[in-house]
Amino acid sequence: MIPLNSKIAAKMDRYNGAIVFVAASKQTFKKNETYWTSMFGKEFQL
Amino acid sequence: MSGAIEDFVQRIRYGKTVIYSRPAKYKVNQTKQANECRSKFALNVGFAKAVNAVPELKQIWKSAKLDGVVAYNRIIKYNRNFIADDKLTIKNIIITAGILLSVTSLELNESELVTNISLQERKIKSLLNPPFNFYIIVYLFNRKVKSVKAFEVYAEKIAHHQIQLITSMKL
Repeated sequence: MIPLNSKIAAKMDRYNGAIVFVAASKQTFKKNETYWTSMFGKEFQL
Repeated sequence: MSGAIEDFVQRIRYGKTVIYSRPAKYKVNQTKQANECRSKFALNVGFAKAVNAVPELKQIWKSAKLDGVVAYNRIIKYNRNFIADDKLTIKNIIITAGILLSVTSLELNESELVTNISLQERKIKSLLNPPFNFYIIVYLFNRKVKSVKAFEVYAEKIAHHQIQLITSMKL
C-alpha cells in the first residue's frame, strides 16, 4: 500500500479520469550504481 | 539564423538574414489543427516537467543512450507520439526500459495506491529488497468543471519505508 500525496488526493474529485504510472529504482551503496524497473500504467475512471 | 532576440526578430529572406524590429502583436493561428497542436504540446510539457522534477527519474533519462541533449528534451521527444486525442495514454513513458516490473494489479482509492507485484524473477526481487524508491506519476484529466485546469500531472518519489509492504508466497 502506497500513500498518495494529499495534494493529489484533494484534486482527484475534480476530474473524471486518471492515469497512474508506477516504476521503482534502487541505488547500490558499494558501486553507486542505479538499477530501475520498466514502468506500468493504468487508466482509472474516477 | 532566425528567431527573436530582445526587441529584434531575425528572419531569413531570399537566403539572407534580415533583422526587423519585433512586432507589438503576433497573430495567433486559431485553426482547429493549430489549437490541437498547442494543447498536445502543453500536455507533453506538463508531463515532462513533472517527470523531470524527480531527480532520480531525471538522472535515469540523462544516463540513457537516447537521442536528445538533456533529460527534459528526451522526455518530450520520446513521449510526443503517445499522446492521443489530447490525452496522455498508458503508453507514455516515465522511465526508460529497465528490469521487468510485473504488476498483477493496481488499484487507486482516495488516499492510497494498492499494487501487487510479482517477485518471481530474481532481478526484480533483488531490486525491491529495501532500500528502494518507488515512483508514482498521476495524470488527472477530463475535468468536471471548467474552473479547474484542463489537466494536472503529479510526480512523486516514495521511499520504501513509506510503503506498507506485504509479501505473500504461493504454496
